[in-house]
Amino acid sequence: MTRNYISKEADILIVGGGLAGLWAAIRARDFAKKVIVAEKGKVASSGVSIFCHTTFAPVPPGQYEPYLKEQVERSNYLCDQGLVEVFLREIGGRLNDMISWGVEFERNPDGSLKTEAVRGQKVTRSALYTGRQMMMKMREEALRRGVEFEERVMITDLITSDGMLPTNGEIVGAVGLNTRTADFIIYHSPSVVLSTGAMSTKTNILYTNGLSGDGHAMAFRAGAEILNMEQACGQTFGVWNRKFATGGQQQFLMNNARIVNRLGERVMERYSAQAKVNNPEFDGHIEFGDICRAMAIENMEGRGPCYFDLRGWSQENVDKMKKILPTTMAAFEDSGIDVRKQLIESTPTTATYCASHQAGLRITSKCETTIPGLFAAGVTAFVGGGLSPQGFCTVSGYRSGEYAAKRAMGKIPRQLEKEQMDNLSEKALAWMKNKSGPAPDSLYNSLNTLTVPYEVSFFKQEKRIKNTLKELERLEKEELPQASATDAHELIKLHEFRNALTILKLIFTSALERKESRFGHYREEYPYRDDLNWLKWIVAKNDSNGGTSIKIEPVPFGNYPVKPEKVVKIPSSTQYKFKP
Amino acid sequence: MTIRSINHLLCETCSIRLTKGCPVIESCSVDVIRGNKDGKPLIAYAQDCHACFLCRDDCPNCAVVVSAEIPLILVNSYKY
Repeated sequence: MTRNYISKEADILIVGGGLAGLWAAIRARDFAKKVIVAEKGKVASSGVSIFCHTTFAPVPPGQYEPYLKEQVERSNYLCDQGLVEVFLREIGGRLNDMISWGVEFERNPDGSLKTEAVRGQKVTRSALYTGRQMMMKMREEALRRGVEFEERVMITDLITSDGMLPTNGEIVGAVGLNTRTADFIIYHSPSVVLSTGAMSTKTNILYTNGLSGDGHAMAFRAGAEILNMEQACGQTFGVWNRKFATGGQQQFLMNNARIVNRLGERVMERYSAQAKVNNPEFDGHIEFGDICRAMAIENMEGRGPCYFDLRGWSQENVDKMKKILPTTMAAFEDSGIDVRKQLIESTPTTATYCASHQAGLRITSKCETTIPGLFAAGVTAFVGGGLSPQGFCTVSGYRSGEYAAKRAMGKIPRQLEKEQMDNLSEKALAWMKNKSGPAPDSLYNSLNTLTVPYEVSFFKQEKRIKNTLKELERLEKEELPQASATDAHELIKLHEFRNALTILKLIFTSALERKESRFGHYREEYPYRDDLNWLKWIVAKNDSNGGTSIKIEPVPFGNYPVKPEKVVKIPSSTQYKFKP
Repeated sequence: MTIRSINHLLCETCSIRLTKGCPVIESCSVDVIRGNKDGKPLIAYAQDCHACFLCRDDCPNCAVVVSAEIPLILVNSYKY
């Protein structure tokens, strides 16, 4: 079938117009003439950064070593220390750039940057801004520099020099669809930067329904190495009274909220030695994974529901929260909840996946993935943990733009054969030919019914992991090909679903491999953090037979400045076993 | 639940719609809102709204009504 394609050329194509993507675009324009940002929604306001308010504060003089040590410790020694070192050296310069573009940071009376310690920070600090103001300034700066925005375009696959996925060649561009018209667009570009953010299974949590991990999935399909995907599981307890999910759990914890059960007992005291020893009113230092599992156990053992107890708050605290979390506080007010007088029920549940760089595409310090021509930035990339996501989006965005642009210099965008374009177009639009078949909403229902229960998400076990993988495989091989899209909106949702499946398969495949419990990953059979055997990276790759090959690599401490002081095996504080 | 309504009477005299184009039509990251032939915003896919409030905040005339209450997938299926 002959179609009219929209065909565009660029020096660099940046997929995803969030914080990392805008940084990449801005820096790329220092070197390259034609820089295109393709964004599924609206550039600067379709991801999470618009809702954020902390980034990493610059390293003060003389503090580099303690900052590095803390960042590595926060990652449980799993991080790529080369990337952390680059990050610490460059974040200050990037924040100065943002200030020069009009981003407003909170200041002390003497004009210096105001900083705060957020969860887990003892030595390092965070700087503070308003996400919306920051992102609008980044958008303005990109436009001022002549970056071209292609909004309402979902990039659906990468194009390779040998026409294969996975490829033995290099990336030469990408294809996509207009989200409103289903027009098929081909971008010819010698460098592609993936900065697509996290992945949601559309559970209505924390405004992330539009994120579908497109970069992770496309790069995996193309053959890039992807690391530690078992750490991609997101958990939240920012679900209020079973009817709001407006964010704020972090802020509440940092401002002296307690978590209590139905009996009025402080939940974390049962599970965490830290909780007993530290400020008894403060649960803010404990890992989210532990908090979520603890609350789930309380509920399953009959001591639930669990609640946020903000009754100790001063009016000053309430006013501060109204400024930082206007939507959350307005939601409470609209429901007639006075946070200083009433408990607020809180439910732990699965949240956005791939939301931190604890899992992601392997990159060099130039943000190159393992495929020539393909770069990754922000949470699409792997660091291994410990870093401020906003800070890493900033530094990696800048570097990916620079090195993607330098690679593109002197290269001419490659044109495709007509037959190849026909095939790509047909593939992208195939679901619109199916007149009957499952609708995307029904597929997402099946996916969430499978993956949201605690015995699959929070507490993993070999048999249950294998059953989940089997069902994910069935959804991918049997149901998805028959799915039907009645319009462009549904077609885009099916492409998103396809990516969600790819990522969830990787998550559960890696979860089967990691035989210990660490951060968000918990194995019933191995309820301990095992630094003796598991200071390792689980490296997954598309094996070109439709499967995934796994390599397990020890973290290369021989090359790193910070080594674990003692190698430990720590029992998990939140242990639970489901009856078979 | 979530996005409730858009009051087109308030769009009538909107200077932004008449000059640069309605900002609400481009607010939504999940394609809930489309534009009609008069350049006014329509709720096209209400069930996909995740109550981020960006559309409400982008409207200078308070024409968009959004509720923070949202269907939460499977949250009621847990044991409490």
